[in-house]
Amino acid sequence: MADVLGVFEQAVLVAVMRLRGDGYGRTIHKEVIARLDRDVTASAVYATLDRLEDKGLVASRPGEATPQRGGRAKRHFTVTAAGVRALNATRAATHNIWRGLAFPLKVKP
Amino acid sequence: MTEPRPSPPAWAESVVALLAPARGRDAIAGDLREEYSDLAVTRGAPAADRWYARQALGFVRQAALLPGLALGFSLGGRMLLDVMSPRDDLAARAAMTTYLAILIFTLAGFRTTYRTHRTASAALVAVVATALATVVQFATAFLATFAAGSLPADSVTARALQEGFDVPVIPMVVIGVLAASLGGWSARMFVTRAPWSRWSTRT
Repeated sequence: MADVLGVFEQAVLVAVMRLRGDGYGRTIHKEVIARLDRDVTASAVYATLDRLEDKGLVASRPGEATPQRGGRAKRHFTVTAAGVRALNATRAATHNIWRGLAFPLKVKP
Repeated sequence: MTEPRPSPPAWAESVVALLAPARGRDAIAGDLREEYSDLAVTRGAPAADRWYARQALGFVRQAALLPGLALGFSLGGRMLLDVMSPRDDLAARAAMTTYLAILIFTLAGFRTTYRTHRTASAALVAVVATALATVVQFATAFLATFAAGSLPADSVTARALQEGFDVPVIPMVVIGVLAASLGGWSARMFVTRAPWSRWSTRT
């Protein structure tokens, strides 16, 4: 059975997916902030990317270096097949949890 | 003549270099520098400096929060035990607290160096964890004193509460740096050289 991801892992993995293989630390960080609509430190994103790579859900490859980056190369991330399965499993689990309830929930007076 | 390009605070860059994971450290430093450069142009150098410092502190928090809280709660728990179950001879409890602190520092040093491949990062984590633990201990002692209300100054409970404010910061930093460095050294010696490790340096 594929991994069921936590909310932050989902946000990072979806960000990587949306950037279609061109995403690197900075763009993924911005995408996660936009998705979650709150400030997130870069360290949290990098730690999650590291964990997802250990689990085999993302893969990375070196990119280009620019003067603006102090000559340091980028590290591009892509979602692996296992990552796609994990996202599907997580989405299905969330859907199952919510089955039978209409969103947004109403508060009874 | 062109203006010199602004650069992030040196201390923050050093913290990132020390605490960023070894895998992709250069890419992380590059990402942060790239965003910093853009922010310096769009929002000014002071705002960019603040942003970079916040990111650096994020790495510190990630490495030191858990050991700091573990240490703080072990010290606070020990103080509450002394308050609720006072004894004349506290040597055994003091020894237990010391060994627990050494264990926490050693594990924190191991964990940090395992990620960063830098033993110096373990020492930094030990110092920050001690600072966090001191804050937790002071907060616990303050709350316990507040909850206890007015006590005779010479009572055992009042003395135990008073001792709660007497945090041995300097010995803790010294022991912490030594123990964390030992943990870090172990991580480098054993884990980074083990063939099964993802950080293995063997080819």
